[in-house]
Parts: sequence; structure tokens; C-alpha cells
Amino acid sequence: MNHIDDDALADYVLSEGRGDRTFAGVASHLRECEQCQIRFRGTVAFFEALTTQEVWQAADGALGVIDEERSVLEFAARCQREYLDARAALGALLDDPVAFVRERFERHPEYTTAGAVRVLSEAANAACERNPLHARNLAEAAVVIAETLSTDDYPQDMVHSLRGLAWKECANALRFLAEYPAALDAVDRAEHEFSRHGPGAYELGNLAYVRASVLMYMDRLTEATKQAVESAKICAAYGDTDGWMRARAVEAGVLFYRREFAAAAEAFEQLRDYAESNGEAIGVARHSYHMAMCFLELGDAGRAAPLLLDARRTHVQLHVSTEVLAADWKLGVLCRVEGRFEDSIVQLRAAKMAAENLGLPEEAAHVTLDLIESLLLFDKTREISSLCSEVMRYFRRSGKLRQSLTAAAYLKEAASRGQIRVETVRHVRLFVQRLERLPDLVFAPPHD
Amino acid sequence: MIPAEPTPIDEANAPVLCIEPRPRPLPGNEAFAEIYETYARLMRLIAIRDFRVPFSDAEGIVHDIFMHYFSNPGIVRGELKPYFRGAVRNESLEYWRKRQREQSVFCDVEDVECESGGDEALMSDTIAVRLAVTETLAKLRPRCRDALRCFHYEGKSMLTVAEELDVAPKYVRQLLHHCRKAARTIFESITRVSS
Repeated sequence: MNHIDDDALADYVLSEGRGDRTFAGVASHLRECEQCQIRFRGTVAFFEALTTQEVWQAADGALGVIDEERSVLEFAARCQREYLDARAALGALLDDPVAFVRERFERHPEYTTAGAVRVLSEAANAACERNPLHARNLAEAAVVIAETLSTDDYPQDMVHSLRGLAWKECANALRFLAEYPAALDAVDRAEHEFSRHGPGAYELGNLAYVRASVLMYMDRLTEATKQAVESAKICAAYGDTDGWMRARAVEAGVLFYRREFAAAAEAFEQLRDYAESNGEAIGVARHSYHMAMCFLELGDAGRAAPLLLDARRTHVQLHVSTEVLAADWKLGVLCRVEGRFEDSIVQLRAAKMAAENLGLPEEAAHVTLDLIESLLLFDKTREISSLCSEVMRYFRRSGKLRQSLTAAAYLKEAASRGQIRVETVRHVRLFVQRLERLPDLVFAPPHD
Repeated sequence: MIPAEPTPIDEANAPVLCIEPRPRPLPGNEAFAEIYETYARLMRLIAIRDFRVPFSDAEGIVHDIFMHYFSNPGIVRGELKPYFRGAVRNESLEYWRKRQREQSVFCDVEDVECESGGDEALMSDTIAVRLAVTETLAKLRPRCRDALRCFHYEGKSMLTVAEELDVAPKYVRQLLHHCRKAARTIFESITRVSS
């Protein structure tokens, strides 16, 4: 079938029903041909749009589409060029903490560019876990440069965004350094810079996550949950699944610290499913372990066992020896929860030795506390006093706070007097766990 | 079939001359152009359709979002499409918040998606066509744009158009014909990409 050509179709539409005879062929073809009907409707819509005011107003805008696109692309190219230049100039120093501090290149005017702020912020983000002190130095240099960027050189929005970014990375580094009040101050500074885009800005989702983590470590759990929920909401609005999951992980952590273990297990299960759907074996293992910890606290050894064994298997395969140790330790706890005290003692002794071999005194201290508990339940109290001394030694070696040593000394004293009970050990263990989040806590013996 | 009109000899005749040249990305920056090309139309459509942002202001919102994104693209985790959707939503809300008309004017994205009935689909199509025509007009040479405006929008006669454009009345018919043709070519290329 021959279809109507575009010109004829346009003329027919513009004729608006006049000239019936001229367009008789077109009209009859349209009645039969669905394809041309669709084209006809498109042509009608096209010419209708040409009669509307909004179309002409928009087309006549001060900056037409072409100019808009051109200016955006030129801007993008400039940003990219600056970023690559900064990477080339700073690259060698980013992995050298000492040389970086010595150079003080935030004082060099040639580095006062948006690209340098981006490069330093990225490097700070990457260094947080590995070397938080270096991360802080990088982020602080980014802040200094960002604060000197001028709105004569860059769009105002960009200057504020980069200042926000630098402050956010500062907060992140301070979080890893456990300098929580300073981290919260840096978050506030970043928020001030980002708030120009309203309460739903993408960056505010990341910021809420950092704030939630800090608040969780400060034991301000209600506020932490609120921030985590806010972060998850913003991330969801931008389709940022990873960000959403990170926020959910904070929520799950808060539930665990609140000792709401059933809800925490559910949250960790969701995170594990997500890791599984992404094929992240290490993430699956980590969240399986967290779930198992929840079930152990709930006394549900049946559900904890396969999770722990799964986590252990993955960590063995991936040669993550610290995580294998953690799984072995909890398998010892699992035996105790099942009432198999003798097995528990054997398992925990092995875990204690592994911790020593790996040079992890803090872990060794915690495993030993569990070993003491299992021995007490099995009514084998002879070696408990010496184990309490070992706990003290481990805490000293790990550089733990004085209050940890006080708690361990109290335990040793109770053991030497023959007054140590399972509740005493649990009290000390809980105190030491909380001390990690609340360094100002002061140890007090349990109430009888 | 009706034969096409003979081609008049004039600068406006060749469709290629009726079109403004596209900005060429700098070498190595083709990716930026591709990102712009891929998402700009969708973003305009969302701003206008879902948040009732006026046509003339939607472009500014899209522009701001791209400027923000290109100032630090590394910050976005995950896919760009949901990011840009979220960014349009946020910027459109900000747009209305600043005008203090937020509550009364727009529907929420989720609401719109839930109630995508026939009327909504029709409105969506109409907005999409108008956006594409806006873009088409912006890409036409000024002379063609002026001719189409005089005739189609202002409803002037061919004689008046000829006077305003300072051309012979006989020529206006040919000019309009070829400007329409050029416009439809651009329009089709735009709608083909976005479909």
C-alpha cells in the first residue's frame, strides 16, 4: 500500500476540511490505513502546538534550548578539565600522608579550584576506613580551598555545593576518628551549604546518613533512627538503593543497640537479601552474622546456627581470618545457648587462642569473658581468677579506656573472693560494649 | 498522492539551512552531551506534567539540575535516570515552595503515577508534543521561526507575512512550506529519540 507522503498530510491537516475534492484520496486512505492515521494525529498535534502561546513563549525564552545545552556542556567540560588537572597535580600526594601534610598545598593559589576540592574530597572519602587521620587532613584541605572559591569564578550554587561536600567529608573522617561532637558540627556546616536546594536535596540524604551513624555511636539512638529514616527517604526518592540500604543498616544497628533483637534480625535479613541480589558474598556473610547475633540474644540457637556456619564458610573461602574468628567465637556462644557447656568451652578456648595469634587483644578479652561465663555455667571455677587477669591484660594491650580496666579489675576481685556469678560477667561485658559508644561512662558494680 | 511543491531558490529552502547548528561537544566530552541528550526531555516533561511547572520555567529547572550534576558527577551513586527524576521532583517542589503555592498546584509524583488514567495519558502526550515543538522551534533558523509564528500563531495572512518579512507574496507560500518541512523533520527526529 502506498502511504500518504508527509507534505500531503500536512496540507490536508492545514486545509481544515476545505477542498474536499482535492483531498478526497487522502481522506479515503486515512479511513483504511492505521499507520497513516497515527501520522495524521501526530501532524494535527504538531500544528496545534504551533498555535499555542506557551510553546512560542518557551521557544523565545532568553536562553533558547540550543544556548542552554551549549552553556551546560561547556560548563561540564570546564569542570571535567579542572578535575583532571587537579588529579594530575595532586595524585602522587594523596596516598602519602606525610608528604601531603608537609606540602600544605591548600595554601598554593594555583590549587584554588573546584577540581581540587573534588579530588581532595574523593580521596578523603576513600581514606576514611584505612587511615581516618589522613582522611581528615585531606578533607580539611578541601574545606580551606572550598571556602576560598569565589562566585566570580564559579556559579554560586556550585561554590556552596563544594563547600558542603568538603564539610561532609570532614564529618565523615571525624566520625571514623570517633570525634563525634566535632563530626556533628561539621555535618551542620555541610547542611547549611546544601540547604539551598531544599529539604529533599540528594546530598542531604548522604548527610543524614553520616549524622545517623554519629548519633548511633553517641548512644543518641532515637535521634539516630530519625536521621536514618530521613536518609532512607531521600535516597529512595533518587533511586539510590545503596544509600537506602546504608541508612537501613544504621536503623538495624540502632535496633540491636536498643536490644530489640527480633526487629533488628528482620532489618538485617532485608540487608542480607539485598546483598544476595547484588551477588555480594561478603555482604551476605556479614549480615548473616548480624542476624545470628540477634537470634543468639533471643536464645534461638536453631536459627542462629545455619547463619553462623554460612558466614564462617564464606569468610574461610575469602580468607577473612578476623571474621572467621568472630564466627568461631559466636559458635562457642551458640553451644552455650544450646546448653552444651563443654563444647562451648572447647570452642571458646580455640577462639581465644586464634585471637591471640591474630594479635587482636580486644577480641581476645571479649572471647575470654564468654569463656568465663561458660565455665561458670559448667561449674568449673578453678581457672576463672587467672582468666580475669588475662582479660585485664588484653584490655591493657588493646589500649582500652581506663574504665574497661576498672571493670575487668572488679571482675578479678569478685573471682578471687569467690563471688563471681554469670550476671557479674554479663554486667561487665555489657558495660565494656557500651563504653565503646559512650567513652565517658563510669563503671559501677551490679546491684545485687 | 499530491506531489511536493517545486523547490524555490532561496536560503530558507534547504532544510539543512533552516536548522540552527547543534553545539558540538569538545573532544572527550561526548559523554556529557549524551547524558544531556538522554535525560533533558524526560526531565522537562516531568517538571511540566507532574509538577505543573510552566513551560517557560521548566527549562531553567532542567538547566540548574544539569549544572549541579556536572559540577560533581561522581557524587551520584547508582543509575542516572532515577537520580534525575528525583532531582526534578525536588527542584520543582522548591520552585513552588519559593512561590508558596506548593499545596494547591501540583500532584505528587506517586499520586500521578497511581492515577494514570486516560485523561492523564492524553495530557501527557499533549505536553510531550508541545515540548518537542518548543525544542523544534528553538532549533529552526530565526527566519523560519518568524514565518511560522506570523502565520500559525498570530494568524496573519500570507500578504501580511510577506510585508513583515519583506519578501514577495508569492514566495511566502514556498517559504512556509519549506519551513514546515524543516520543522517536521526536526520534530520527528526529536520524537523518534524520545520514544
